[in-house]
Amino acid sequence: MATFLRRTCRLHQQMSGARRYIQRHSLRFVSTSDKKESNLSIPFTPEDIADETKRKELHKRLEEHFKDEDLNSPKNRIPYGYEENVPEVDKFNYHTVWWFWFVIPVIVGIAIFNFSLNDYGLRSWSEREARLVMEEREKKGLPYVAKNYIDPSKIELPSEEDIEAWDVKIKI
Amino acid sequence: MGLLILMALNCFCVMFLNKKDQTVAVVNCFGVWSAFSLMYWGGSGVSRESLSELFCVDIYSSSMISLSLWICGISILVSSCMTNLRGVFNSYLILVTLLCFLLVQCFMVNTLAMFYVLFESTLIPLASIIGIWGGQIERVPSIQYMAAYTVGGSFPLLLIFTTMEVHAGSSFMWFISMKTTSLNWLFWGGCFLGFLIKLPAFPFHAWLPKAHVQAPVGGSVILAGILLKLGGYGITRMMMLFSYTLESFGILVMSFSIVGSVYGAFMCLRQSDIKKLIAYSSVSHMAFSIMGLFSCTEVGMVGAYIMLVSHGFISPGLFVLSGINSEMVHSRKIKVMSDGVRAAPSLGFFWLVMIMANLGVPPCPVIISEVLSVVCVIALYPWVFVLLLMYFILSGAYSFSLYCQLTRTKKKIKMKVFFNEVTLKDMSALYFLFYPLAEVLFKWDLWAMM
Repeated sequence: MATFLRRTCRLHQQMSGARRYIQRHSLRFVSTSDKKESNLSIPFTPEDIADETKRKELHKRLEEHFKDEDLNSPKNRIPYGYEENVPEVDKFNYHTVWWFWFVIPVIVGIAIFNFSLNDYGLRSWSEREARLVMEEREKKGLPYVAKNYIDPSKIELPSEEDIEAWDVKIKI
Repeated sequence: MGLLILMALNCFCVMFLNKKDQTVAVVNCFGVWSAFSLMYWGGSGVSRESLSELFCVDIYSSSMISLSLWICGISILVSSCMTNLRGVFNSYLILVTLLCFLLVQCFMVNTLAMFYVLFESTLIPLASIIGIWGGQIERVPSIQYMAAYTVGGSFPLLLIFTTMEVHAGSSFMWFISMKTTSLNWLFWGGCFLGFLIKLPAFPFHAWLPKAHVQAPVGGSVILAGILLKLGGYGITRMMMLFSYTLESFGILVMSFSIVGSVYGAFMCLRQSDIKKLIAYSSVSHMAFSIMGLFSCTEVGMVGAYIMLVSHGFISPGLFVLSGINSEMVHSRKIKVMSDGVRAAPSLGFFWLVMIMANLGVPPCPVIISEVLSVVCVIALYPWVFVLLLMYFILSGAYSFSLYCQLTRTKKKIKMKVFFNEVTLKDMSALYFLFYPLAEVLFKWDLWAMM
């Protein structure tokens, strides 16, 4: 997933890095000195990016401008977002965050959900228990499911005199 | 208890690191704590590992604990734009860690009185976060609104718990079971008002858009991700106490929540501020969880918790995206934010994914929750389907409208967009908010196994 994200964003980020380079130089375009400007910036607007034809022309101009530029040099580094100045710390933090937020929760989560949550809700137990009860009833010649769970002759109901003394409420 | 000890020990170790390393260290600690909290998901009923004198955890608690730890960690990860603002950023780390500590205890405690104390105490760190790192001067009235609603609404609950402690001698929620057939609206209102305000339920939702708009990105993430869920969890525990015998009061609340879902969707349709839109979208979604909770059915409870957990991941994702996008264009207006999406097309993809997840497009688990909640409501009153149909149409409309405004707005005002690239750190945070939804999807029946 990390590789996918990197690849998805790599071209955009390279262009962003190039744009950032251009922007920095473009900002120095307004100068109060008498010196002649060097051949710096390639000014562009968001419309140049939105329109496909203009975007292709801009890419060509940028490629021509940056053909001798080393994109892997430290000044053109695209940071992961954790540390701007020290690339080693930036990369280390990126790796640790992915380790603690993806690798460990996924492995520990899968382990827990497969082993600790085994037979969650007693599903396996209930199936085993049902088979045992079925075997027992087969031996006794009883049906699997009976209308009465308890033998009605063993139920003791209160007498009419007892019920008269109670305040019975029936809610429907 | 082991989790709290681990949290305290880790915080103690982090104190000795460099200030620069402390942020990433704390973020990583939250990841470890979340993985550790998965241990509490073991078994049906109450978790054996969590049992102690003070704490007892079941599936509802454990899901909320894991969610709290995850969301608080993400809120620190996405708060890099706050490093340049007023105050010391390390104090933000302390506030979030403290808030998480209180939340974890809140979801673990046995007694309702302690639960109330911790429920109220979570307001203080959040108010501090909004007050110190909030965007505008209007953050002061927003904190006042939030505090007034929360404290005022839960004051009757304090009276009820105090009475319970005095008369019953205990508010130990696992043993007490009260059955009442008397229709006492004041009593039911007092029990649930504080939690309904927290969720927030229509018509007590007014504080949420104000709080979200004024809160920083990290604050919005925590508020939407976990603090709203405190209300749902509190309702679950109160219902457990009263053995699900709400009846008429439950029907009244469900009626309000159905209207609230339509209202929230309608308000989303006419918003131009992205954070207000996401806040009203939260109101709509929480209405579904209220419907599920107050239906007093197992199907409803499952639907409610799937919504609470899913929304806890998706809504912070939307706020993270809005934070990234609004930082690029320095505005929360949706049409202006389209410039940022044009500058960074990858944001368009992330917006699409998050908006679809928020809408409830399968395979996002929100659709399961909506179906289960609708089933509960329609089983009671079939004609309610008309209002729910309106909600589904409106929610599709505002989601589609939001996406179109973000990606297809024709630029009318010439604006210079300062290209601030979307960092891999921000995209990692979005991914960390999205991938746990797969776990929720595959194990959605966990909440049905009580």
